[in-house]
Amino acid sequence: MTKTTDGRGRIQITGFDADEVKEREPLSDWQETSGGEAVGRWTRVWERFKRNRTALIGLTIVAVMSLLAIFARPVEVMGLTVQPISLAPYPPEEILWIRHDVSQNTPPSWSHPMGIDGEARDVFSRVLAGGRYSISIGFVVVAITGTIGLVYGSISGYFGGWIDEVMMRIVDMILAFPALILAMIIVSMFGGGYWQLVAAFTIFGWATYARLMRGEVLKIKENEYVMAAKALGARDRLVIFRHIVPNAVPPLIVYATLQIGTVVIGVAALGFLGLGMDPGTAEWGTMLENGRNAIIPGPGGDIRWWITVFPGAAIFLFVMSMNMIGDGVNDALDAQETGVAGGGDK
Amino acid sequence: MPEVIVVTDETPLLRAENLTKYYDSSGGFLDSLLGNSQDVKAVDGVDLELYEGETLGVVGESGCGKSTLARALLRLVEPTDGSVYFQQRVEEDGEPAGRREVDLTTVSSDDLRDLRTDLQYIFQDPFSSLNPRLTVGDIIGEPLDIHDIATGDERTERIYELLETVGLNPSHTHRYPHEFSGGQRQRIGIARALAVDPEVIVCDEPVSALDVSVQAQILNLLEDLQDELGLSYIFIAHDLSVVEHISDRIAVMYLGEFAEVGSTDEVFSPPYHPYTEALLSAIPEPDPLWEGDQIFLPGTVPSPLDPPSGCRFHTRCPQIIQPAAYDLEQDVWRSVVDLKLRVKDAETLESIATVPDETPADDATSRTSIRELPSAQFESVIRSEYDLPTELSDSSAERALSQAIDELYEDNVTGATARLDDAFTSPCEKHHPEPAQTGTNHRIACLLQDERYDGDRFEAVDADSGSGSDNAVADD
Ligand code: SF4
Repeated sequence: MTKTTDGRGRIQITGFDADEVKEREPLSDWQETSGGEAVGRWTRVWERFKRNRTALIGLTIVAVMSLLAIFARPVEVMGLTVQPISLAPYPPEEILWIRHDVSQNTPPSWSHPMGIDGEARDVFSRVLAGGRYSISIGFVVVAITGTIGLVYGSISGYFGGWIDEVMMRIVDMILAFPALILAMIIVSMFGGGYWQLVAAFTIFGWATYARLMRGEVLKIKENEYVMAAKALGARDRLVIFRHIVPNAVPPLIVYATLQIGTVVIGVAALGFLGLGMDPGTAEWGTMLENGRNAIIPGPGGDIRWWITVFPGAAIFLFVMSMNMIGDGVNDALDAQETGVAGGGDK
Repeated sequence: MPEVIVVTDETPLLRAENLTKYYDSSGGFLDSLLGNSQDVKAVDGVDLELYEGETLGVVGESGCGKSTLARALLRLVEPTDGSVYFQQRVEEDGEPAGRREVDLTTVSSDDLRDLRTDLQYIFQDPFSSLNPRLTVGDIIGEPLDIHDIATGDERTERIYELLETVGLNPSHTHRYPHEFSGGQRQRIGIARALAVDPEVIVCDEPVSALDVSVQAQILNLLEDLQDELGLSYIFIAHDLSVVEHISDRIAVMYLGEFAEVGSTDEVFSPPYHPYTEALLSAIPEPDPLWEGDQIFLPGTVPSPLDPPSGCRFHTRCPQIIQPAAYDLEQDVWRSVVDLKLRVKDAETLESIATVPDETPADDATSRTSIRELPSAQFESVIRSEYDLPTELSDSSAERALSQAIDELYEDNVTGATARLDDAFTSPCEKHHPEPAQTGTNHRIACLLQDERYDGDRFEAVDADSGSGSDNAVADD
């Protein structure tokens, strides 16, 4: 339905006004009823994670090991018992032949399912309680380094320019050294112990997070919603923590999950080198170190395998489960980014 | 220096003067330390006015700097130079008390934050302009929180109201952006901009990412909102057909500068800027009774890193002016200039012309370079490559051209460049056209509209080196 005109591009078209347009097909296939309740993003990630069997097994193992560690011995805070349950039959440091009728280096039996070690201590009790050090150091270190790296990387990536340049050269310097060497240097400077170990893995450990976060922030920063927030008058702090960080954080979470296992191995490695906790402590790596001579056949020609195999197995089980979780988280977040629900993608 | 053209007594609501944005294109810290930086002249000295209640369309090809202009206007990117004046509403004791002029480029960041409630922005890409992690309610509520406009129930109420204003259902508040179509997302973006009750909205290609059917709906919505709320728009687009219906005035942008500014009718009718004319001819014409030729622009938009001298359009302009000495047909002249420009940029003969396949060759496999052609054939290859006749109608021009081709044949590219430069330099290459007034509010930046152009010749070539009376010459 056109009328000819002499004006260039001035054709009159009728039947294309807004009222008619309203009668047309809906703008998308989304219907009032098809959406259901709006689900949050983390709920969707959890739904996807739950469907991953390996990741769930890993999560269960980690949860059980953590609970066993917590309930192995009573927990006292400033003289007050906050956790009275004691799953481990003996205190991990107790030398049993003094009060009980046992001898050193007894193989596993019903009363001592993981045997007795060379100092006459109950290996089962020690493995249970040993998780307290390894696991908690893993979580604490990752929480601290992750937070530092997140803030550091966000600032570096968001402000850019010479700020970024200086901050990233510092990170480069740290990353030029192997993490375990740096941790060893710190432990040999400050001595062994729980908080020394935490410090050993924290002081330089945040660098990788920072680098990862910066790259992610640089990417997210390009999105128009960041400029939109500025156009609305949002302050830098709001832009960073409301718009950039939540969108940049998934890769950091994946890395952090995997990193818990790495830290646990690192703590064990330092313990095995005799640089971790005090020699008698029930910490998995330290236990391995104590049991080192047990691998050499003793007077009777027998190998006292139980002294090293159980703490070793605990380390292995924990780290493997942690990696399984990490992969699961990765897949769940990945699907989030690229799937139908892919937020910022076209 | 700023030529403010007073059309009405009204002062423009928003006025930019000499707005300039250069980007540093150096690779980073080291490059800038070594002085390797080069500026991308994205926006180069743009003047514009926006009056209350009007829509100013800004049109240009991609890469002409229109998005940068839009962002520099609201200081979303820091302008390199120039000013943006805005007539801000002033309130005294809650009563409106007139307006006061502020310069956006110099206000403090706190004042700028306040100004964000008057000046808003709609983004091009409805997919990346909404944070995928926030619900629609949070997206629209954000400006309300930032400026303490509403809290609690009032906030919810306002969000519902805004959703309804842009044609969405208030029950969508708790959904995430990915649940919506492109058009619906763009509506959310519009609602977000409206939340602060702005006076001016800069729309950066708001419909170019949408389906054609949806485009019309969004344009209608924007027009309705303008009537209802008295908004003023700066509407960026990459083709004239989109802005035609919505704009009161149109500015045509080329390589960081305005080529033409005028009311929609003025821009759509003669006199044209040659660039506008080409853009107009490219609008698909559904009218079978229309008789017109599409003007094809040769080449691509030159890099803003090193924009052409004089008139920036001279590398592609079909109407580029001839030197006073010659009288060639316009398209032949254009071809001569094309050859000249190519020779200037060329490093080797091969980049000037290639041997056409059908050229008879004794040894077809080895003859791939024009170097190896005999002189006569060489000349004809060059001429046919640039659509030049075997002989130019003007004898002195012909002499210069054939000498240059001979020099090329001797592989003397520098010599040929100098000769061509000497003989064929258009005034358009030397003089930067100042916007010339061609109607009440119509400005065209082209030497054809310059008073020194008498309809045939551009006479300022000699004057500007001599008397100095010619103060309009601005060589870049
Ligand atoms: S000044 Fe010359 S080159 Fe530029 S648009 Fe006008 S005629 Fe074309």
